[in-house]
Amino acid sequence: METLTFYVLAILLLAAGAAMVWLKHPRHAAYALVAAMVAGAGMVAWLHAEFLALALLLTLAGGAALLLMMGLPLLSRLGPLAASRPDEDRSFWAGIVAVLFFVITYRVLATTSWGTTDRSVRALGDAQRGLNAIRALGEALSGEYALALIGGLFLVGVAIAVSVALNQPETEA
Amino acid sequence: MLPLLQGPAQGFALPIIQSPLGLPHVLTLAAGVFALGLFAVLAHRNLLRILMGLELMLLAAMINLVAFTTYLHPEGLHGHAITLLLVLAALAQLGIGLALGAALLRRAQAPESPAPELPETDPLNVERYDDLKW
Repeated sequence: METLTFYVLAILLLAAGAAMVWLKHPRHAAYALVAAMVAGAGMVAWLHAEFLALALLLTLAGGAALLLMMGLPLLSRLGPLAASRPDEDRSFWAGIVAVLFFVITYRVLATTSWGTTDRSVRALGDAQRGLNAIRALGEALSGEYALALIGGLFLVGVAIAVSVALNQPETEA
Repeated sequence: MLPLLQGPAQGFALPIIQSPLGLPHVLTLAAGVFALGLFAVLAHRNLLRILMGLELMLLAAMINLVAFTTYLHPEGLHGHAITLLLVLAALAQLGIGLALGAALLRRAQAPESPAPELPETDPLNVERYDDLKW
């Protein structure tokens, strides 16, 4: 059952990613991106990180869905959102770079001994089991990752400020 | 010959697929998703599509981090904490990208548009703006 779940999620993730790349209309591509994020959250849940999966679903998939579903119609009011496919001139070299990346990564993964294949709940440490995981994550974020968390929140604040500044109406001098 | 290409000849065998489900499977999947995002970033000229490709690459990185934590460091949650921070970065990037798109669309509508001779082309095409080309 776990194997079947993995392969179903993998096919969904890859199919949604491919659809995002090759669908013509930006809105359809945005739907595909949100589907890929939902499948990615499913993959995180499959890896026994249920709390993180829920956080990904609510923040990344939900946030991206909100931003794209509300942002794209607003953008289309400002100007035409042209349909676009991968550029023919660039596709060849981009394809070669992407395939080379995948082949080399696969080769490295296939020849590396990772030493473990057990991802069952029994193999998890106490910190990753059930509610302990949420507590441990909270402690990590408020402890050794506090500075990084503040930096991330600062980044979001800067993003909001820059977004507002970029779209200020120009005033007559 | 490059070290990566050396080793016993394996023909068309796919050792990861044939082995029991484990960390290499998840990492291979993440590499595939990352490659799709990389292709989107390199092949598209539309700013929104490039942004979506970047989001896909970030998603692959997050799956990698969680997989490494689950399989290799089950006693800690460092990968999970970094993943949550990556989510913040991804949302900030998406917000800035959409705001940049809105600003470019407004600029394209302005009479002093940078490429008025190409009115029918995509206003979010990075080729129209010298400062966005690489």
